[in-house]
Amino acid sequence: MKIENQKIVSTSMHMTGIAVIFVAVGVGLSTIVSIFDNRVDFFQLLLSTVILIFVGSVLFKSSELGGTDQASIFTAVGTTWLVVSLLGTIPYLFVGTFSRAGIGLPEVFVDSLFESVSGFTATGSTVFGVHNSIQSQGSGILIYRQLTQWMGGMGIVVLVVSVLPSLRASGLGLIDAEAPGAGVERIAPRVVETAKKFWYIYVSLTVFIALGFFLFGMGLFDAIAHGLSAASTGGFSTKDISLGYWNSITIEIVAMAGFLIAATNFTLHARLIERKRFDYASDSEFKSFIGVIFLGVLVITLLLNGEGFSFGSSLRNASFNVITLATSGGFGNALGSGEAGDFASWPGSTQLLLLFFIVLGGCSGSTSGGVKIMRFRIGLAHAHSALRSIMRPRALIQARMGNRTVNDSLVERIAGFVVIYGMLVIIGTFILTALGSDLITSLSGTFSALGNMGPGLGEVGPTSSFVDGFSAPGRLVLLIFMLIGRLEIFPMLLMFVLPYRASLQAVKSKKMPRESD
Amino acid sequence: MIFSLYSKRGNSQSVSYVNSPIWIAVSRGILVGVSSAGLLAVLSGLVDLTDSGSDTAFFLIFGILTTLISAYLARYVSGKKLKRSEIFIEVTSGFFFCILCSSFLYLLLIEKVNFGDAFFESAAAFTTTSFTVIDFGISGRGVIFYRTASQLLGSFAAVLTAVILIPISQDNFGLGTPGRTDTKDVFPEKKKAVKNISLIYMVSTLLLTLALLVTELDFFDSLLISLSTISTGGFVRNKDVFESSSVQLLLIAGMITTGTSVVVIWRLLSRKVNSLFRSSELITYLALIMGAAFLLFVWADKGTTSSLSKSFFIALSSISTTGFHISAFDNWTVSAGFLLLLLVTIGPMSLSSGGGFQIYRLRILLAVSVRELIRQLHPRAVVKIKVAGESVLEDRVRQVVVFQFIFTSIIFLTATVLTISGVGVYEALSSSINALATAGPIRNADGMVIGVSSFSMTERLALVPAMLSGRLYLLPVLISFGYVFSETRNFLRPRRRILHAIRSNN
Repeated sequence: MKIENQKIVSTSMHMTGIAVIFVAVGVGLSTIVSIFDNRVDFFQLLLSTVILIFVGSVLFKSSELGGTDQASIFTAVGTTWLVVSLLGTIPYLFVGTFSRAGIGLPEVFVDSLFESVSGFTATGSTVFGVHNSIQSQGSGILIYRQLTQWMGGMGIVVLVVSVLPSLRASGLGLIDAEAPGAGVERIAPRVVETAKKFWYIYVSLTVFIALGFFLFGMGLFDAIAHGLSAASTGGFSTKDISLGYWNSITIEIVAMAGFLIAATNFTLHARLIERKRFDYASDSEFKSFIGVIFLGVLVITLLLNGEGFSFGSSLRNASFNVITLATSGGFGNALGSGEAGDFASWPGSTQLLLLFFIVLGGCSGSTSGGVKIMRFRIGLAHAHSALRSIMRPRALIQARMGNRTVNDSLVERIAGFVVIYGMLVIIGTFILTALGSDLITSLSGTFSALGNMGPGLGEVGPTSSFVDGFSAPGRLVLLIFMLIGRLEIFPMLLMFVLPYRASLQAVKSKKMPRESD
Repeated sequence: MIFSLYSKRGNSQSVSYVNSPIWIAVSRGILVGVSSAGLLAVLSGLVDLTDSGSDTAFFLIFGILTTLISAYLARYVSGKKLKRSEIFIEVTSGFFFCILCSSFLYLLLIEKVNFGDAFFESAAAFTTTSFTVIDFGISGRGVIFYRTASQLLGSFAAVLTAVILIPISQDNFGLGTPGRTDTKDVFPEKKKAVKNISLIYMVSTLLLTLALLVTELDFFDSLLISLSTISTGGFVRNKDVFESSSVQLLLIAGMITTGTSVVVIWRLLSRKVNSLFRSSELITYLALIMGAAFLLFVWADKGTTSSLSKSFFIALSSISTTGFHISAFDNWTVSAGFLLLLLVTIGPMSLSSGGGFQIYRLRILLAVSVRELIRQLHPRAVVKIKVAGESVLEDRVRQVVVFQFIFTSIIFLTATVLTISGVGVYEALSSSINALATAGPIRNADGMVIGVSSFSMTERLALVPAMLSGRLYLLPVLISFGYVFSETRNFLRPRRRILHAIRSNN
């Protein structure tokens, strides 16, 4: 590790420091909220804030920016997310959120880490359940849980970049490494401005959704909490049965609209706000996204209707759950296990279609997870052009998406991504089944974790806890997959390249004879 | 109508839209398919003579008639050279009409069988999928032989298609690839390829039959089991034979062979043993078998020799896509079920009798993922895909990626249709994977075998396209489907039809 001006030269450390301070701010806000809730968990949250500010400041002050090559970027992004997720467990551990009779400290730590990672990655899978009710928790810890999602939804690194002008051009690389999709479009001349604009849109969206929830019957606290969750397409709720608690169509409509906006490419929103250009209708990814959702809602409504549900109930539940899963929203509208909105109890055909939506995800450059519509479209276009070129061997046929020709290198990148994604799904499912979960639960759990979706099928449906579906080691595997999925695979897989190179160099320099010898 | 129009060939003024290369391909496919079924029927008729001979006359009449009619009609089909994409249509229609023709045979020979059952049975046989819906308990030797031998015919046709038509197989084994002359001794030309592959099939079937004779099995049963093994069909009339450890061991050897590439086997027969150790695909194949058998053995938790051989048998039955039915272990685990599904999906070596994704393609995909990781670190780097030290053409890499995409899509679509029809999600996924990999049997989450006979007619028919696509390595069926789609569209649009006819005339 290089030391200059009495500071450690490390981009990872520098960025992690400021990211931890942001988390501390979140915990600080939760501490303030807890004051209004008869000071439940106040001291524990206050202590957490102090510790996090101290750790963050030490990391930030004792380091300065280092290398900005690809390996350093991946290490920085990966380390930031790992450290933030780990330190994010502190409030849960201090409050004792997951302590319960019959389980030891290691499992309490796994549960805290699971909830922390699920929050920051905006996955929305939870270890709360019948054994540990969400509604029995204090407001402070509940709002902290929602804030983790909100911070992670847009991206901790984007947040860091927006306040670190010293990152300059490497900032785009950092955002790119964290952002969903196959690249980030710069919407302002400066990267810091781009990051700030993304956050501006995000904050506005959160406010609008929260306002919508409040106007249609939610209390102020719940409206803000669910607004934070909906904008980030996270899925955490302050109620055990999520939105099912309110059983209100209007609230569900607000949530669906919020999810759809959040799962749309933020560049389109930025163009609308900045340049007053309504590019949605001409964006082929957005059109496909809406088309697929419409088709999914239609088919699932008909299938549910065919199973004996009334048409109104079928349409309502199909719309809500398709949009929730396609946007990786993660809210539930079931009134309880086995009720109409509990898709884990729906017929097999609808479950398989919902699994498809879990894999599919939303648009690139949005807060949603999954493989992303754009990758599917390019995959389809590529398959179509490959088959046509076999039928017409002399013709020069290129893959097209909308009116644009798809670059070969982009196709290769997407192919590589999809292959690695598939392999991770197989590895994850294999490990989870070996740890004792059933195949459908394991498969959907892996897809859900990789796509930062939230609920799965089988034993981890919208009304279930992940404690019921997976053992503690299984949950540990899933949280690793959530992190891999949130950073779109590569940063997490390649974050160890830089330390590996450094250790290799250290070994080599030890082996080399000194000149004085 | 088609044939009457063909009779006008040579007269350029009267060439019609129907006389297009696609229709020529379809007609040739029909003739090849029907005559193959006919010839097989003649052979089965002769085999039936060793039993009661009650079906012999019927087999011979059916066989001779279909073969003669096909041979007569062949005179009217144009001898025009077809493009590769059109040959794909010929192969697909050949397979389809062979299945159709055979299903009529089952319908006429077996009592209480409806057309749907007969068609499914025939499709399962020719696509070498280990599914069966007809009870052959009281059938004569001729019928049973026909059912078993159709597997060999299907498997042989599929391997030949792969050798001659599928681009990736050719790259893998030197056909048409500059700089890879070391494999030209195996398939220097099409005729030689047909001859060599036939020889491999015959020798391996004969050797396995003779080996099985050493056990308590009689000649006919030995022949049937070896035909099922070598073709990876998995059909047997008596499943109890697998309980014998000696039969198990011999079939383990048989299934290893059948999952091995014909090129490797040819080298072995040519006494080029060293090349075995150079085939990294073979090493991967063997490593997968051993790894899977070890895991099954550990999960079975018995620690006996019979448990070990059973583990190998089940692992091999899956990875070679043979699909021999054998009872599950007492303490079956979910992971064992998933492992078997994974093995079925991967499948054996390319250019072997088995189906599935096949190891060569999997290795290309692994190389693609490694390349992507390197590119993430060095975005401007030019990284070539290499498998076993050999560069793979970028076109082929793309085809494998597309293959993977389509493979997954077919599994999903088939499973969706099955679930809509009422099958559970696990069973639907398991069925569609097994159908596409032309493997079987379908197991539920507890490891118990589910008979396809418990499926409704719609569910069975939903499996047939997957079986056919899987047996023909997707490409021929997809291309044919593409042609059918575009021709139908052209036919429904008169303007396009006229333009097409003018272009054909020119």
